[in-house]
Amino acid sequence: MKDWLPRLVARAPFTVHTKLIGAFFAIVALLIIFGVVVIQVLSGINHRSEELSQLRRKVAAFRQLQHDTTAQIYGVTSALLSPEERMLESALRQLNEFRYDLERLQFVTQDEVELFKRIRQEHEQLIQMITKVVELTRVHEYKKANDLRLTKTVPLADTLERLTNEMVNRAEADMEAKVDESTRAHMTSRWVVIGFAVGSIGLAILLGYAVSSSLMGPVKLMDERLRQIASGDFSGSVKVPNRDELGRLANNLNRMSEELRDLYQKIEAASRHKSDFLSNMSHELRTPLNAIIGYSEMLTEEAEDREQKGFIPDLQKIRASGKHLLELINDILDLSKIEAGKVELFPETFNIKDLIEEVASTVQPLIVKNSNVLAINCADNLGAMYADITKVRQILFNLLSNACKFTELGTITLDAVQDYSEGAVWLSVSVIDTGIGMTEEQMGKLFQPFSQADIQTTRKFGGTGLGLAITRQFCEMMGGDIKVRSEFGRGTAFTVRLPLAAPPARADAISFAASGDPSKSV
Amino acid sequence: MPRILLVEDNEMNLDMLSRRLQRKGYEVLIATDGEAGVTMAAAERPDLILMDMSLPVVDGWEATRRLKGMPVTATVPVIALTSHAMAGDREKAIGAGCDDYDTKPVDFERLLVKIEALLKKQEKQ
Repeated sequence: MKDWLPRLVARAPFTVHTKLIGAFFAIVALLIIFGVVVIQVLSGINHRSEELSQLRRKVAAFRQLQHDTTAQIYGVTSALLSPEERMLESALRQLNEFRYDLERLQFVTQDEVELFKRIRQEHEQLIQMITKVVELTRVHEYKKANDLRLTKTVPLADTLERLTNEMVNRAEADMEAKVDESTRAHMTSRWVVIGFAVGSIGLAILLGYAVSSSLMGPVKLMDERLRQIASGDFSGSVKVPNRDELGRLANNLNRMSEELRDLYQKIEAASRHKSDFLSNMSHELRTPLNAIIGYSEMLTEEAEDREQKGFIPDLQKIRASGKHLLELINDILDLSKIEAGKVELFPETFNIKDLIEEVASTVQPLIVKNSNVLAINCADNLGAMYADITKVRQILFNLLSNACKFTELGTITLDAVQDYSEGAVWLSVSVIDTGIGMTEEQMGKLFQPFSQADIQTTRKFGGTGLGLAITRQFCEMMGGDIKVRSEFGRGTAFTVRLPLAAPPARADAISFAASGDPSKSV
Repeated sequence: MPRILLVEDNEMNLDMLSRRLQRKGYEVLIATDGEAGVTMAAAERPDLILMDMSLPVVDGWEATRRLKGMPVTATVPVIALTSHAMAGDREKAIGAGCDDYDTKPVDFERLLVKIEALLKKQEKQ
């Protein structure tokens, strides 16, 4: 459920390039929006602080006005009490100056026009009244002047005082309200900025997660699939929701896998046909060969009985050639059966030393042929072994006959010991000769079927080059291995390692090794 | 003189083996399919049977099973002759009741050793 966003991004019918650029621009846009919001909040703060300082100036001016009003009314009132011309002039001048103060204040108090208008009206009336009082005083009508002053100017002065007080109070109340509002606005702005910051970070992370998941998910799936294909499993397919380059890549991967599967099946079938053909052909070849060998043996016996010994060498040549041909055919048959997965293991318990001696006596004619000496060193603790005796026999025979073939007037040594490693007990047999040896390059091709060191080797020494391929296959089937060391012109040492007790579970691995691994095909 | 029943369908193999066995002094009886082999074994009661495994009518394994199932022939030793190391042929032969086996093409000297060993064992019983 939580993967809906990556899925959505994956399904979006855009290229990976577009998606990445899109994600990048989305994050840039978030940054820009965040920046604009911050700038707006800052300018709001700036604006409010300007308003506040204006209000502060206004309050100060109003206080000044209030103070001046009180002072002037007091000054004028006291001047009116004395009839001296100088005092009266001064009172009138002060009043006019005050008017000038009011004019100047008008600029500050735009929002309190009504109140201010009333102050001015009151003030104008006060000036008129005072002017009258002054005129009456100048003509010495003191009584009238005093009456007028008491009845008109004093109430007017009181009203003026009250109005200016009101003005100051109002301005102060305004300022307090403004301070409160500013504090509240500041709090709000802080939350707006924090909100936008958190929101932007969250969105950017979500976007990054969605885009990267939509890209990495398919890549991981395809990686896994490629690993399976590399290990020879062509059966599956990879499903990705992407409609971009990765989607196309997955489609191509699936097509490649199918193509490989078809190809692999064709190759397998071809290989099987080849193995079947070789197997059948070998079988058919062996029947007439059988007769050739059998009758030549019979004729030899016949010749001996009838004292016609002159025929014997030729008859023996026919028999030897027949036997050689039979060996070659048997090798081909063995290998084709291994490849067709038709070879099974039939383990039994046998004495190792007895088997080695048996093989040594079988191989004796080959030892003598090239004037070699065979030395056998069996460890005392060899004992018994549980394995397919015919395969072990064939392995030992192949190694010894190989050594004989490539050694002249030399020594062939067979060392057999028990070896404890990897939690198991092994039979380790080394066959060491003092023969022609091999170069590095020749050793590289050694266990390949039909590959002797080179054409000249084949011409000179004979053989199909199948012996070592079969030997290695048998060793691996039985859970063992074969290693070779060689020095050109000095000799070769093969070491075979076989488990003393063949685990029954190896049966699965055998059929796989024999049929499933294309690297071992001819 | 020991009597050996040779059950084999290939003419040349039959000719060769029978002649060589005769030369070695054995009396050789011949059958060319599994069914005939079983009938002859029951009628003639040979000392030993050489049984090819791939035979017409009734194959060597089935023939051996029948022989070992009949009281008259159950004690007669049977040597199976199998093709070269065909997977499991040898085990199938032993499983069918064969006393020994050898692979074709026959190594005559080796086969003689096996025949002699089984005949000696038979005499003791």
